[in-house]
Amino acid sequence: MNARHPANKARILTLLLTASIMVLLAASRAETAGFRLIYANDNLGELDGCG
Amino acid sequence: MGGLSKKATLIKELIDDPKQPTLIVTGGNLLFTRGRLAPEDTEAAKITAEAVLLAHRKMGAGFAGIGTQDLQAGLPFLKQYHTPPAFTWLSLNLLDPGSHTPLFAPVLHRRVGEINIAILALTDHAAFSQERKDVQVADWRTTLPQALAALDNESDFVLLLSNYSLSENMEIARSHPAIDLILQAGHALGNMTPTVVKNTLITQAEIRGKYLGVMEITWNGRGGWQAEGEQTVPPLHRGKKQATSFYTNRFIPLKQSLASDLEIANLVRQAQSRIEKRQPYQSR
Repeated sequence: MNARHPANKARILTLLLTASIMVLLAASRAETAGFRLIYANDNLGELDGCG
Repeated sequence: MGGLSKKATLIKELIDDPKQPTLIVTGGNLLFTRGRLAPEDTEAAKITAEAVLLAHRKMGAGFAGIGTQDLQAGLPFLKQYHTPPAFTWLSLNLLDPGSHTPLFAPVLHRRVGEINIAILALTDHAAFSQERKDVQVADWRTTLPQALAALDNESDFVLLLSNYSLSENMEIARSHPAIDLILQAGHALGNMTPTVVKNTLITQAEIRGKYLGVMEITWNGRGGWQAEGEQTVPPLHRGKKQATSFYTNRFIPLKQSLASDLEIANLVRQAQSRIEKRQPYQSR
């Protein structure tokens, strides 16, 4: 039994580490996002030119 | 330079990239030219305004801020085109004089890619004729704080479409760091290099639709703004844990050499034809 303890501990630590990395990666993906705005100033009723 | 059919072509080219989620933003003073509408010009101006609005809807614009000039043909005219969710007119300080409640939508929520954006708009009360009895335009100081406080925590990004001048917008930014970006409309400053005021980025494009502004944003939360490629971190945010957000901004001229979008060009021709054929104004 005693001989199996260090191996189990290592497996648990590896699992915990992997899970932590996955959570961190997911969080960073959720917080960082790219988008684009296309905008203009007033149009002032212009149809076919800029006045 | 200019023209709605050129603008439509450019927007189509820009939104062709499916990797980058895009929001098309229409500031304010969309419909009518400056100054008071003469009675003999009202019918033609309304035909033009309808075409301008329809063209922008076809380009993908689903909302617009209300500038003082947009009220030129009266409140009922504007209200008939307030048809959420297809098209939403926005102003949080254009109020019913009796109930003091907003006449149009005070806020609009849009999801763009992974980001929930709260869009608010302000109409310039100082530029508004107070002779009118059908509407009241309140000072932003009395309406904006409540509107911002009412935003739920699900808004990742707050965009303000402002019809106010730059000096007022700078004061707004200093007073309300919860606003992430102010896009100005209705003041002639030319294409304005984006300026950071506390936590807020302020910019505007040239008037009369001569240019399109294109801003690419990498949003990391409210840790301050930095232009992409800038080497220095703004002193305000140095040492803080929040990550800086990045932007690039460019202004694209609507040159005559751009191809015309056929659908919008046809729409413009039809409006022009209606204006030419209308009955001459009969003065009484």
